[in-house]
Amino acid sequence: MKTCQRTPRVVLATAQLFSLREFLRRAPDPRQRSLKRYLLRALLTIPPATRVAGSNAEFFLGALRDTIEIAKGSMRLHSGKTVYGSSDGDCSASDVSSARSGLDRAISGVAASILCGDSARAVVDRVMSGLRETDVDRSGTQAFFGWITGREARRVGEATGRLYLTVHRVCLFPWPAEWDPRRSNGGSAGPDLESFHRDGSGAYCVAFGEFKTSSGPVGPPTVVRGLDGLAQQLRQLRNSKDYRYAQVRYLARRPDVADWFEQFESACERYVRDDLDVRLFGCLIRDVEPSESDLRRAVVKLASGHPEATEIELLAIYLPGNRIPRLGS
Amino acid sequence: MSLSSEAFDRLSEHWAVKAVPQGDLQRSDEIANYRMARRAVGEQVDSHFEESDDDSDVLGRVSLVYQVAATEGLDALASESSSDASKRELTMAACHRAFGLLRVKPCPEPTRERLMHVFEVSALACCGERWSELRGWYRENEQIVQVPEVDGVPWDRRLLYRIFDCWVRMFRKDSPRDLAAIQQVIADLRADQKEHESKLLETTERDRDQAVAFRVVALYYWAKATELMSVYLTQGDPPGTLRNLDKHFGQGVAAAEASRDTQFEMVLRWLHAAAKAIVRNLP
Repeated sequence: MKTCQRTPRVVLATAQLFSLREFLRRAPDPRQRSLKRYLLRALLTIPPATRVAGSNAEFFLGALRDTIEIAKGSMRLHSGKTVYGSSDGDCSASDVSSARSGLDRAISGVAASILCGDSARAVVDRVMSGLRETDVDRSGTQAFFGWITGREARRVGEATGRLYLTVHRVCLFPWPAEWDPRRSNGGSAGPDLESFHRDGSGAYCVAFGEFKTSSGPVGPPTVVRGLDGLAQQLRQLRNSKDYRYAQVRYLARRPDVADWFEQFESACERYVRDDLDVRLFGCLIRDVEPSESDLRRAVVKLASGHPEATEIELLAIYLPGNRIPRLGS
Repeated sequence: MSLSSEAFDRLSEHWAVKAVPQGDLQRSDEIANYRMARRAVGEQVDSHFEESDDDSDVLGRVSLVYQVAATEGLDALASESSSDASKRELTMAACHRAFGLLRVKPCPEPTRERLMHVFEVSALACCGERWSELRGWYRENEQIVQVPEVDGVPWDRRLLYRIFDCWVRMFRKDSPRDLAAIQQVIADLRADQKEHESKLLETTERDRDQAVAFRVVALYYWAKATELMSVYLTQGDPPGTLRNLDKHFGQGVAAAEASRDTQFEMVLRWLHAAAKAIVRNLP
């Protein structure tokens, strides 16, 4: 933070950011809303006592700046440059090497803040807050969660993928991802992505997907392979009707806000008519030079025997070198 | 409260139900009736009905839409507000229909999926006011509702299996002793915690498997809610029991949500609604 003269703007930005997060939770498509008008209205209701100090101030200012960029319809996330691509049937793979400055700004600004949802610590605190009244000993779980302080790089990587799919694949995420720790085995845990995708005809369908973030030069990355890997998780989504049914039922729990109910209803009706008519995304986020071998095996694995009505897309987003370990900060 | 025909009429106009062809709705009823009859009298059932290869898909799709309609109204089921009465009745009708189809679907074999299936069937029956049919289902499916052994299983599964045991007792309603034993089961779990919890958490990678710890926390809330239910059913309503029940189920759902286990989260939500239905149904 440079000068105290900025404080009033910082105060506004902070309060606004929290309101915006709530607002974007409810917005069917943030790009279609007049955020500027919303900003102005919300600015009038900011509690005067709100204060922010230290380096957070710069962050919040940046967030506000980026938010205004969204309002102008010039989202600072470029589509990137396709550096390789392949397709086999309906299973396609494309590799997007990011327009670096744009993606960097998107990551460090409002994208990470809003799309990531609550910080890890906030989720832990909320979950643990009533444990005393259960009469169990809390010391073990408290110690386990004790190391958690902020936001994982992996989660910011995932937010980047969500942002990319929102802007460039017309996916609608009605709710922000909570900080969502992963199980080591897929098991019955849900997919990373549950959303609605607007296809070329303008109709919505159910979309599921998985995100994997991998740092370091080794390739193809292990997160694509194996039982917990990207390819296997997408196969489960593609092949298991019961698994997809469970996810659609779960979506039914969510559309309790009228703004996106229409999209849910439309996508769900379509799914009931044909339960193979879904869109699956597999998104790999790396911080090395693009390499076609990263996704080649996954494409081959998924290309065989997949239903005609199911469309699968694999994407790799390449960030600047060695960027991922620092994403969390 | 008994379900009115008006509730079923409204259910047939629900957008999800209307998305299914009328022929599929009718076919799903026929499949369910046939399977129930076959279970009752065996293969010698006198019927010209024959199942086709597509029938499992039809049953799956139709039960999905009823479950979607039911899930939309979950909050109304758990609510006491009279303003939710209309939605609650529509949701109960959806549960009623969903139970009718789900009870004839094959139960998944893996232990965890089997337990989740039993929870779902039981909760739908309670919320759809099919109490006697649920007890019948328990009698006919002893293998499915069997409580798994806990020896040698990790702490989170031990918690799940023992809590399952408690809810089977509540749904089956065989004897008052069954209900009274629940409090002892939960007390035993607390006694086991020290030994078993540390074994699980020590072998859990902190940076990869935080979900395991969140699941354990969710199970603690669920165990407490289970104990409260048992107290309520055996001793009436000590002050604040129902309020605390809502609170612990709510916290359990939040922890399950953090574990990103959607099936587990949904089961907790459904059991919360089932608990409220059991309480409402008490004489």
